[in-house]
Amino acid sequence: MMYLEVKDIDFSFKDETILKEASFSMKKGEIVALLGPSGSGKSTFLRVLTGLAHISRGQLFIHDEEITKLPPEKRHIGMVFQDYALFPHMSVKQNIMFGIEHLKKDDRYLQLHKMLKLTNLTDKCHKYPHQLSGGEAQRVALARSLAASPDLLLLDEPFSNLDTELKAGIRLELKEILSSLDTTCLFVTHDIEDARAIADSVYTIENYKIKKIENANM
Amino acid sequence: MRLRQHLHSFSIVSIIVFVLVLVVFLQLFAGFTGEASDAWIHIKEYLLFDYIKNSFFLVLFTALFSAVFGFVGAYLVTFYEFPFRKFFGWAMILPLAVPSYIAAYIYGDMFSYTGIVSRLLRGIGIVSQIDVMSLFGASMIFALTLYPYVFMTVRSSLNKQSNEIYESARLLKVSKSKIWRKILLPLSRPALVAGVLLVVLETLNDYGVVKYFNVRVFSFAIFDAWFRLGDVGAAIRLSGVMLIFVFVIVVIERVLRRNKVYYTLQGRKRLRKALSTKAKVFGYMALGFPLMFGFIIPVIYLSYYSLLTYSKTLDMELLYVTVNTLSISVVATLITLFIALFVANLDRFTTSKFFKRMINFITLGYAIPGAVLAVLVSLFFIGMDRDLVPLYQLFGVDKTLVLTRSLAMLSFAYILRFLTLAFNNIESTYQKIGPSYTEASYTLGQGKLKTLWSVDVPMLKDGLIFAFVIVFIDVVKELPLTLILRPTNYDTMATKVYQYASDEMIHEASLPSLLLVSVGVIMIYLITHRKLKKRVK
Repeated sequence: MMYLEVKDIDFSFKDETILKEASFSMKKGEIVALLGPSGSGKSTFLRVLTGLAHISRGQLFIHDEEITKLPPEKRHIGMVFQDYALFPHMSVKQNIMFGIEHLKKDDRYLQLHKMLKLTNLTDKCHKYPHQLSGGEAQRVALARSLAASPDLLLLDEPFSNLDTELKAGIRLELKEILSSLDTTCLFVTHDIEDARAIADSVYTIENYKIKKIENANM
Repeated sequence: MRLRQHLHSFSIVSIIVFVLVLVVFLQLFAGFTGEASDAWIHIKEYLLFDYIKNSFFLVLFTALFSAVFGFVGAYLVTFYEFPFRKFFGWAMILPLAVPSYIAAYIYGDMFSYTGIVSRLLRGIGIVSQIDVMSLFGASMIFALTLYPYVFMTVRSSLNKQSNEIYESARLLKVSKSKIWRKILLPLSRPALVAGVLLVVLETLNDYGVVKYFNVRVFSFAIFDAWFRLGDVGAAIRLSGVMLIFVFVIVVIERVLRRNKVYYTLQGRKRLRKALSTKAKVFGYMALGFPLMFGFIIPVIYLSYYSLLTYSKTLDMELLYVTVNTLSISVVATLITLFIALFVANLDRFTTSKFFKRMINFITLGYAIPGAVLAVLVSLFFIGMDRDLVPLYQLFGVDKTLVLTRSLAMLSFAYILRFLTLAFNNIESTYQKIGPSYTEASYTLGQGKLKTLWSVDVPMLKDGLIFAFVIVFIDVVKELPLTLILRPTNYDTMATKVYQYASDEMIHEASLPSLLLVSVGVIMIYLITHRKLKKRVK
């Protein structure tokens, strides 16, 4: 039984075809990397899953429930943006709590502390985004998305803003965090090393379709 | 289902505004269907050509003068270092606080036979009088009070241009004049044209200057047809011709701005060159002339005559007029910003061509001169009142015109006219912020309104303040719309000043004029110094 199912979707942008009759699926708890050069449509595919971009044909399911026509805020899909998109006027704590305001106060704080501990950000709780390093900002963005307990987590080029030394450590951390929460995660990267380090399987976009790369971890 | 995807709070508000704007504009076509009146036949035969010719030359001269004042000023404060550069950087915007019609009353008085300039000239033996109350004089008045639009847009564009472009041109031993012709002017063209278009639209919107100077242009003709000849049909037909005139100007602007490219300043900070002594003299003259005649002299004149006449004009009525002006301006500006926020949000994320075109149409308002808009809004409200008579009777109201000439009608017209200004400012701030914060909020499960309030508004704060100030100043100064659409016995500072001037009581107009200018100056100071403080931080 597949957890995420994408069936025969078409997507074009300004008369340019990006995806055509593309299908894709993921198992619960799986971490998948979508690999490919810039402009190949990887990030667009993430936007299609979140509902920020609308497909002209096809269907999307999570856990057998169709989400094709749901607006982004109702899909329970979290996304960490390439530039992290941390709200600059909110502290780390406010950023993390932004998506869980509907919870009861106690539950909200419980979730906040869990996320801060998990991402090792407890001492940065009252800092603002401009006071954080690149790695810290990335962890806040991750904590913010995970706090809302999304059914699926999407990461758009999560390591592109980090230098090489920092990258290795953060990859490891990310893998641990995602595994500890049994999060189903799809991330986009142009670096095969990122894919190898984290992903259970690797896909790419070729001829408007999403294709699995066999033996990518070799 | 696709329809449901497109229907949300942003699109619903925008569609309502679109329908209202559309219905208002349909009044124009309805006005053309009736038989042409004698007055219109007379205007068409004998006067229309003069209106077109005068409007053309007024716009041409104003555009040329304001382009020179604004461009040279922006160039100097961006590329050169000299004493008081920072002061000129914000002071050059101050003439925007002086409504053109007030400047016209002042210079009309100063250059009259008994005015100070004529007396001084006679004192040194020059007997011939300078006639400022002419088409040429009017265009100079407009240029002196409106050039800040060009100054602001060009300066902003020059600040964004990469310094390296100019440095590499100099390393290639390109002459200064060639740098101007081949680099500076072409790169600044979109901003220059956009600034000049604003000046032109404001010029065509004016009624105060052309009425006082008796320059027979379109807005003069519309008022004349409506109020002197009592012929609404002729006023509508003139509005139609005027709209064609405006349309041609907007098309020219689009053609001149084609292939626009924006260059962003990257890397090093711009190193401003020092001015030579000779160039400094020219620089101070180029900056000082428009500032002196566009702001300093008018303020000195108004202050002087306010002191002489305050015992007659400082009364409860002035307080009442001030409260009227500020209250309606704040309300109209806030509603305008609110609607603009919704429309700008729809514009950001919609992929629908229909919505894109709809937004273009909604934001046409600023291009429509006040006199034309006033005619259309009046007809729309009269028609609406007529349809609502049964409802009024149900509530025991005997009057047939309830909404016509009400504050609701006046506010509606302000919103229609100034929505473009608010929308453009909010849209450009949104472009700077980018969509990812809003999208992040959506993916965190927050809806459109919650995102707008918690994420967008705090991040748009500076853009919203700027938009508020720009719209507020314009509403406070607005004359033609207010004059035609205000309720009976309802005055604003602008109409009070106009009333004094019409009664040949120019000196008595000084105190309300000074108040009006002060509101503008405070607002301009607020935005320019807020910006400066942020830059220092």
